[in-house]
Amino acid sequence: MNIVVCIKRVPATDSRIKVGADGTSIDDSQLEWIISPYDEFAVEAALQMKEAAGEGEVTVMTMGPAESTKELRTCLAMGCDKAVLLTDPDSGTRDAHTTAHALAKAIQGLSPDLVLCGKVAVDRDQGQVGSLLGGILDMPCITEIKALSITDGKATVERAGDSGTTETWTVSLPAVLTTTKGLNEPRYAGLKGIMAAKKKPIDEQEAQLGEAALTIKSLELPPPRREGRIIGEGPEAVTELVRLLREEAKIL
Amino acid sequence: MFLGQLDAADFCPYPFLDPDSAELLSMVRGSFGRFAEEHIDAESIDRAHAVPEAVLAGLSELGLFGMRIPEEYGGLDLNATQYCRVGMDLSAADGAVAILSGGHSTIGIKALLLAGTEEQKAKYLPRLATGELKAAFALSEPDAGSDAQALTCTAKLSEDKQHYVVNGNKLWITNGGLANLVTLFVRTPDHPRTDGRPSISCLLVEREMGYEAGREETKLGIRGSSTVPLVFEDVSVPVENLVGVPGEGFRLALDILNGGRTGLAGGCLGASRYLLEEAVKYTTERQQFGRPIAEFQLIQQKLGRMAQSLHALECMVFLTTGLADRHGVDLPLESALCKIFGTETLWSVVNDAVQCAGGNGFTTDYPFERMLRDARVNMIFEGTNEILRVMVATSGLRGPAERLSESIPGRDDPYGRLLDGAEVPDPMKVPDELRAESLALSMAVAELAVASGKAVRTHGKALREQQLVVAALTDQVLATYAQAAVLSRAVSLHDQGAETVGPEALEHEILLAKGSCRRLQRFGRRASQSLRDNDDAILLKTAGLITRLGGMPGERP
Ligand SMILES: Cc1cc2nc3c(=O)[nH]c(=O)nc-3n(C[C@H](O)[C@H](O)[C@H](O)COP(=O)(O)OP(=O)(O)OC[C@H]3O[C@@H](n4cnc5c(N)ncnc54)[C@H](O)[C@@H]3O)c2cc1C
Repeated sequence: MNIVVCIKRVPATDSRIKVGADGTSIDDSQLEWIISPYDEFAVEAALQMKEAAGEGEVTVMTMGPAESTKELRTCLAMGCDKAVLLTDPDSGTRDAHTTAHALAKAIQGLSPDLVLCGKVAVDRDQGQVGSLLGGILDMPCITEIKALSITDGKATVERAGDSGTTETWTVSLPAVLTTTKGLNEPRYAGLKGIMAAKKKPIDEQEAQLGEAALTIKSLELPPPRREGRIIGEGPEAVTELVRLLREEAKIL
Repeated sequence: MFLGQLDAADFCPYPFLDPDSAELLSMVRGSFGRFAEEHIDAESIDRAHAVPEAVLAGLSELGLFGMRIPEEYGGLDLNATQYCRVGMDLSAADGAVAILSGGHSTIGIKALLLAGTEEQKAKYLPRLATGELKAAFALSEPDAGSDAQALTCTAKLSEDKQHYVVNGNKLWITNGGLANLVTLFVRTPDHPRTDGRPSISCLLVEREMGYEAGREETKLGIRGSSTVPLVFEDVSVPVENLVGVPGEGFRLALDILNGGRTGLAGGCLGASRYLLEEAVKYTTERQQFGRPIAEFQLIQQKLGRMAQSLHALECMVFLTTGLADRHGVDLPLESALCKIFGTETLWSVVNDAVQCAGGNGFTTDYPFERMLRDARVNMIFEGTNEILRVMVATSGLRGPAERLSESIPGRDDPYGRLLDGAEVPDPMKVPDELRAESLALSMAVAELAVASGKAVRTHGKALREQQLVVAALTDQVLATYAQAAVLSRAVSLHDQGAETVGPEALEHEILLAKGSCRRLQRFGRRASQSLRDNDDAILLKTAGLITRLGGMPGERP
């Protein structure tokens, strides 16, 4: 079982985001970085699949700046066998298309049985890379899986369907799967793992970028939310509420 | 600094963590941080007076007990800076867990690391790294607290000289209830010293060797941490478990404590940072008189001064650990200053935070009251702040005092120059915005030298007994060292440029540097003023009277 997991280095979820001086990128000078939380489910799933198969190799891959070795090293400490860093100093500005192409190029060379990534990176919240990878690599792709088992070269997965239903799918491998909460509890990088990770290889190569499909014209922070207001209590307040929703908020 | 010297090359550029060390640190913090968030419940640990087994097992797996153990013995081999940074997180998560960790890594295993033989290390360190063995440090006794050298617990060689037979009691031993390996300090009359001082040695005692751990103390704070007496009755310890040189154990105990104090200071920093964040959250959410209370100046005063003290502490602690890592040495005096300043900063921060939270600061629904209780002990253990204040100035001035007493007045006198001309050392090169602070630091160093010179000349070798003088000198050196640390960090960030650091981050740094330098200047000036203008004689006389009377003189309602 040969698995590739794609992860992304993103600002910690409690960061205060500021727009950079150029108006099209995020000012990253003050940020703390983490592995995008949905990607941790992918890493954990890969490790569990490898352990269940009793053999195989898990490669963790990211496209990002040189500092991304920190997040890769954490995945190695969790138990991944090797890491690939596709270096791109401007990765913060790349669109999903560019990124997916770069990842796909590198993944092709590894001929994996399974490609896993988080359903969405929590920085841009676009959730496209997984599906694009499926397309480029010409592999079946199922997104947002919350259960996974593998038997006889097939993956059986569950995902949330409409109105609370659960869909079960079976796909033949190789396939691309994107992971979401509920799939597993990602493990901690412990003492043994951290020491072992020091000796594991990180293969750094320049990212072979694809063509951009999107360019960012400008970035703005959402306007600060206005404070709530209490209009009144009980049925008497309804008329006023409806009036305000209609005239002030203009949503009715 | 006692000699009026200020050499920026000693502490500039600021010793920030290198990228590789930062990477390892981030992994360890990542795991501990998530574990703490999910599994460490400080409130219930406080109520249960114990850290749950499962939490200990989880933390062991993550490497808590191997943080300071070299890689070849299966540890994480964190340097002082990394260890201190993790300690900050632990203290923010729970004071008892932090003390449990420190009892093991800072003092429990340190004798082995400093003075253990290859065989001793190979035998114990791998099991200490995994947490299978947990360590304690047992020096204090009922009649030997600050005066630890007065200890009486004794180890005598057995007839066949293969064992020491240990008898005596230890008191207030952190981790004593859960540890299975104790670093024990005992008298060893079989190894007399030539200088007439008591012969003290260090033994590694396993639980199975048969000592008894007594009842858990009921404590004001850090209730989840184990603090017990240990009772030794004819406990037989193999001679190969003696660590270091027989009879030189007291030096070893002091080296362990001297080297470890930045760890405790880091813990105080972590708890302070957490408290400040909680105080900000509380005061911006709590509305009175139609406004968040954070808009009132008397609340802002508290938030501001918490931040300034914290900033100084942070610069000072990581300057000290960074220099210790860079040069591979322990810095006993600087570490003692960090301990004094750290524990007192935390105490004032927690006091301010409680006040900001009003009634909620006093009840158990919020973390403030627990953290206030937890904070208090820091000023008492690992050397009381009184003992450390005496230690810093007397050790710092021992050399000069001896030289002075041997020298002919007026010649060969390290202070003569300063006393006569008050020569001010060259100010550090700083960005324009901090020029006034840099000049003030140079003045403070000169003033310290003058005050030191005067103290040494007036009191000579008896200076040690003049504790008010000595403490004031320590406060002055504390203030100057902290200012140097603050400026060192600000200058180093400034030199990296707004490009790398970020324009806003640089602005914040300068504001905090300015504010904390000024706060420290005032603190230092007060100390120096107290040497020139004080009512010490009346104060001491009053204390004398009260001790004689056993309390206040007659009451007059
Ligand atoms: C929770 C807790 C955990 C501890 N853990 C450990 C441990 O793991 N291992 C261990 O060996 N010990 C431990 N101790 C003991 C601790 O180190 C001592 O309490 C401390 O050294 C002070 O000693 P003492 O309590 O006997 O106070 P004393 O020495 O009696 O001091 C009482 C007061 O007098 C002051 N004083 C004493 N001598 C002087 C002087 N010469 N000049 C001026 N003032 C003076 C002190 O500063 C203090 O304010 C622990 C204590 C506590 C409370």
